[in-house]
Amino acid sequence: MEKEVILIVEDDPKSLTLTRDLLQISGYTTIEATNGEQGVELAKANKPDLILMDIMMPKMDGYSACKAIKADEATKKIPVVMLTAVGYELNKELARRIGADGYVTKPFSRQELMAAISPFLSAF
Amino acid sequence: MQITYHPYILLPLVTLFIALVIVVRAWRYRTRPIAMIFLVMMLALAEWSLAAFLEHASLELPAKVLWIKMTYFGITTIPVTWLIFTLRYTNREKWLTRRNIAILAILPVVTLVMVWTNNIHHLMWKDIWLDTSLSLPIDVVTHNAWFWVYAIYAYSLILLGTVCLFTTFLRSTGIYRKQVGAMLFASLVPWVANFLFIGGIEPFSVVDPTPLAFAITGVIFYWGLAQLQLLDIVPIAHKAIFTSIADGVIVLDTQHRIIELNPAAEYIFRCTSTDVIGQPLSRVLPEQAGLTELQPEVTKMETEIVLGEGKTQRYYRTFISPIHAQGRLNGHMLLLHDDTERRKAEIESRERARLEAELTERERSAEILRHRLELEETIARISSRFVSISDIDAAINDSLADIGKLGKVSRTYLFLLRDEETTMDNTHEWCAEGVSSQIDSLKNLPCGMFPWWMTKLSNGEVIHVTDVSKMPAEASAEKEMIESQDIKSVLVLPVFVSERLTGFIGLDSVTETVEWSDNDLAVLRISSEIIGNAFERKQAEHSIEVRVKELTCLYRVSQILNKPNADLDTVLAEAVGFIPDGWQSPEITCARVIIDDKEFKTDNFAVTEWKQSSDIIAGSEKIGALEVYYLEEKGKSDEGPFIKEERYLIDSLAGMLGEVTQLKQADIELTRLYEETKSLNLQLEARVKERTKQLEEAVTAAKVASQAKSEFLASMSHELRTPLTAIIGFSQVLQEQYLGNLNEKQAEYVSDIVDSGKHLLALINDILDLSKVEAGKMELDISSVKIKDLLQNSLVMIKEKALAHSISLETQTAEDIEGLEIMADERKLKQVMFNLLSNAVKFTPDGGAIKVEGRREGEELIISVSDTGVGISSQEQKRIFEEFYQVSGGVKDKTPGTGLGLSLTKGIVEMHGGRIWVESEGLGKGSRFTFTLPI
Repeated sequence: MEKEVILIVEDDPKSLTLTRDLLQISGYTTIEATNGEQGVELAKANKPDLILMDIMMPKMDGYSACKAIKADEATKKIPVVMLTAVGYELNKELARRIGADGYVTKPFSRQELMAAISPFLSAF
Repeated sequence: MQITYHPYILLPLVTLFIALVIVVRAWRYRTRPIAMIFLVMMLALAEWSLAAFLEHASLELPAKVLWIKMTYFGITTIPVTWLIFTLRYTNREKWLTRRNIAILAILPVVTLVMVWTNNIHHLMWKDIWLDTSLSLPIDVVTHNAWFWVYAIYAYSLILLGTVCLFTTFLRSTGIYRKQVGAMLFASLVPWVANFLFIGGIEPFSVVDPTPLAFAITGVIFYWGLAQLQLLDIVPIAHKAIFTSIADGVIVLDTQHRIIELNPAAEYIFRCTSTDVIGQPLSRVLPEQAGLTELQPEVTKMETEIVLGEGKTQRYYRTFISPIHAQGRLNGHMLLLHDDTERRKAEIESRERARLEAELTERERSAEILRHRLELEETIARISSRFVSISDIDAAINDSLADIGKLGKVSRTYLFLLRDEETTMDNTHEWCAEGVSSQIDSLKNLPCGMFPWWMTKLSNGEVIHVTDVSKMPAEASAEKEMIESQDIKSVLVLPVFVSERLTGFIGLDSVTETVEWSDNDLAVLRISSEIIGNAFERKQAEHSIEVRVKELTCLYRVSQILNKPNADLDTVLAEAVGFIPDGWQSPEITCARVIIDDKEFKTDNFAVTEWKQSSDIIAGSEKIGALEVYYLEEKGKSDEGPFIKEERYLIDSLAGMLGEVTQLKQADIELTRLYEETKSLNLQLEARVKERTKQLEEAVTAAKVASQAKSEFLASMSHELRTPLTAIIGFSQVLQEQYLGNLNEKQAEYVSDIVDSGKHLLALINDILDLSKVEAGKMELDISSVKIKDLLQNSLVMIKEKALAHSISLETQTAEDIEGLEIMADERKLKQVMFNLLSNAVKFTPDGGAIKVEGRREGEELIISVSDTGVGISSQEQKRIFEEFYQVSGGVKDKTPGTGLGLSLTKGIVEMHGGRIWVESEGLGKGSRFTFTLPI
C-alpha cells in the first residue's frame, strides 16, 4: 500500500526534524513547509493526506494558514492537526473555530502524536 | 143511490176517518190563524175523501159523475190552504195579503166553475164512461186541457209550500230543524202518492191515493204543531212577552248553543238572531262574563255581566235557569235585566261619599299643614335672627317673644348658668300683656336650689308641668318657686353648648293650664337648639378672632425678622412694635426685647406689675428676654393677668427671636466659612485634576504593562516549549532506540534527559498557569461534568504508579452524587485531582492506601483525597498552599515537585467558587486534602 503523505508546516528546524523523524519511524511519507504561506501552497500542490500545522510562524501564522486551507475548495477536505506550544489556549473550541480537525500540545511523545493523527488516516 | 162495497172504497174511508179525527182534535185551536187554515185544509180533505168514497161506492155513471164533481170542492181548496199553511208555518205571513189570497183563489174558483159547466164545453174531461169489463164497474175519465192546467197550478202551489219548508229547514237548528224536517217529510208524501197514481201503479191506478197522502201529511202536521205548542193560546202570549219584554232572553240547548233570542237580547248583544242562532253562547258573551263555562247541571244562578266600556258600559243582572221537558234537561234560559241605572247610581253615591271623606281629610291635613307652616315660620324667623350674631341679646329677646306668642303663654325666659354650673341668672325674658316681669328677682340663684330640675335638664330632658299640684315630692323646691309665681303650667327646655348644659328656656302660663302638643315641643326644642348653637358659634367666633390676631402678630414679626440682608438691630426694633398687636387689647399692652446689651421697646413701654416674660435662647445659651406688660389691670382670670394663649404667644415670639438672632449671627460666620471653603475647593479641584491625570497615566501604563505581561507569557510559553519539544522529543526517540541500541550508561543519561525535560516542562506549565491565575487571566472552559466519571478517571491517571508501589486505591462515593453533574472546567478539575493524587502517592510508603471520597452537603460537593502517608505537621499545614513551599520527605519520585502544584490547585478550586484545606493528625499519620465545589 502506498505510504500516506503528511505535510508538516513548522518553522523551527529542530521541531521539524523531530516531527518528520517521528512520522517516518511510524511509516509515513512527509513533505515540509517552514511557514504558513508555503504550507498553503504545498497543500494545494500535493494534496497530502494530512497536515500538521505549527501556530507561531513567520509570514503567515498557523491560524491563517489553516483558515486558508479550509476556505479553499480544493484543500478543505484535508484534515489539519494543529501543533501548539502555547499551553492550553488552543482548546477544542478554538480548533473548531478555525476549522482545524485536531491538535497536539508540544512537547509531545511519539505516542501522543500518533494518537492525534491516527483517527484521520486509514493505515497505521 | 146505491152503495156497493168493494175494496176501492177503503182508501177514501180511511182518509175520511183520519181527516175527521184531526179536525176534531185541532178544533179547540180554531181561533189561531195557523190552526184555522189547517182546519180548513183538513175539512177540505174530509169532503174530498167523502166524495171520492161515494163516487167509488156508486154503481151508475150519473151518480159517479156527480160525486166526481163534488170531489172538486176539496181538490180546489187543498193546494191554496196548503200554501197558506206553509207560509204561516215558516213565518212568511207578510206574503199573505188579501190581494195575494184572492189571486191565489182565482184559478181554483174558475176550475170549480169549469167542472160544473163541463157539459157545455168539455174542457175538464171529454168523456166519462163506465168500464164494466171488471167485476165492478169503474168510471174512466178522459181529462181535457183545463184539468191539466189546474193540475199544474195545484202542484205548483204545493211545490211552493214544499220549497218554503225546505229553505226554512236549511236555516233552522236544533229541535226546530227536527220539526221543520218532519213537516218537510210530511209535505213530500202527497208527491209520492201522486206519482203512484199518475204512474198507474196498481191499485192506485184506479183509486187516487192522494187524499190518503194528504191525511198522512195532516197527521204529521198536527203532531208538529202540537209539539211546538203553536196551537196553544199560552204560547202566543209567551211569544208576545218574549218579543216585547225589555229584558233580554236567550234560550240555550244543552250544548250551550243559542236556540232562540228575543229582540231585547239582539239589541243587548248588537246582533241578529239569524247570525247567532245555532252558535255557541261564547259567540255573543264576552269571556269575562264567566258564563261560557256554564255547567249542564247548573240549576239556577244569578250573576252580573258587564258589557261595553266607558260611557256605553252597561250592567246586566243575569238569571240563568234550566229548561226541563219530560223530566230531562233540554237547555238553559238566560234572562238579562239591565241594571245599569241602579248600578250607576250606586257607584255615584259611593264616589260622592269617597269625595266627601277625601275633602274632610284634606281640610284636616290643610289645617295641620297650616299649623306646621306657622311653626316652621317661627323656627325660620328664630334661626334667621341668629344667622349673624351682631346682637345676640336682641335676637334672643325676639325669639322668646315669638315662642311666647306661638305657645300662647304668659311668659318666656332664658336662664344661663355660670361659675361651673353652680349659679344661674335669668338673662332674657318676654312677658304677655298684663303679666308682671320677674327678671330682676331671678338673678344669682344657686343651681343647687332646684336639684330635680337641674338633673332632668342635664340629661337633656324637657320639663313639662301641666298641673303643678301633681309634681313629684323631690321637686318640692321647684313646686314652691312655681307656686309663688302663680304659674299654672310650665315647660322648660335645656340649652346645650358644646354638649354642655349652659342654660334653659322656660314657658310659663299664669292664666290657664296649657298642654303643649308634640309639634309645639318640637319647635321649642329646635328653638332651644338654635339658641345653644348661637352661643356656641359666638364663642367659636371669639376664639377664632383671638387666634387670627395672634397668628397675624406672629406672621408680621416673622416677616420682619426674615428680611434678607437686614441688620439684626433694625429688625428687632421694628419687630417689637408689632408684638402688642397679638393681644386682645393692644392699646394697653407694651413689650420689650433685651438681647446681649441691647434693648428694644415699644413707644408706650412702662414697667407695671402685670408682667409676663420669656427667655430668648440661641443655641443653648440664654442671650436675652422678651417682656410683655399690661399697662392696667386686665380682667380677672385664675391663671393671672395673662391667659394661657398669651403666654404661649410670648414663648413663641421669644423662640422666634432667639432663632433669628442665632441665624443672623450664624450667617456672618457662614459667609466667612464659605469664602474660605471656596478657596480650598479651588485648590482641591486643581489637585484632583492633577491626581486624575496621574491616575489616568498610571492606568494606561498598567494597561500597557498588563498587555506586555500577557504577550510575555504567551511568548515565554512558546519560546520555552519549543526547545523543550526538541529536547524531550529527540531524547525520547533515543530512549526508544529506534536509531540503534544504547549502552547502559547512554540509556541512563538519555532517561535523565527525558525526566529533566519533563520536570522542566511541568515547572513551566505550572508557572504559566499560576501567573495566569494571579493575573486573573485564567479562563475556565465551563461544561457539564459528571462527578463520578471525573473521580474514577482521575484514579486511572495514577493507577500505574500506585500499583508499582503496591498502594491500594479506593473510591467511595455517596449515593447522592450518583449521576450528579456540575458546571465546571473538566480539564482543570482533572488537574486538581491529578495534583492531589500524585502528591498522595509521592508521600505514601509502599503498601499504603489512598482513598478518594465524594459526597454532597447541601449545595456543595465535597471531594477528599486521603492517604496513609507521612502526614503533615501543623506548621506545615499552614504554609502548604504557598508558592514554592515544599514538604520534605517525598519518597516516591526522584523528580521533585515544582512547589507550585498546591498553589495552582487552590487557585483553580477558588476560581470555581470552592474551598480547599488539609487535615493531618501529624507526622506519620497520613493526611487528607478536601475541596468543595458549588453545585
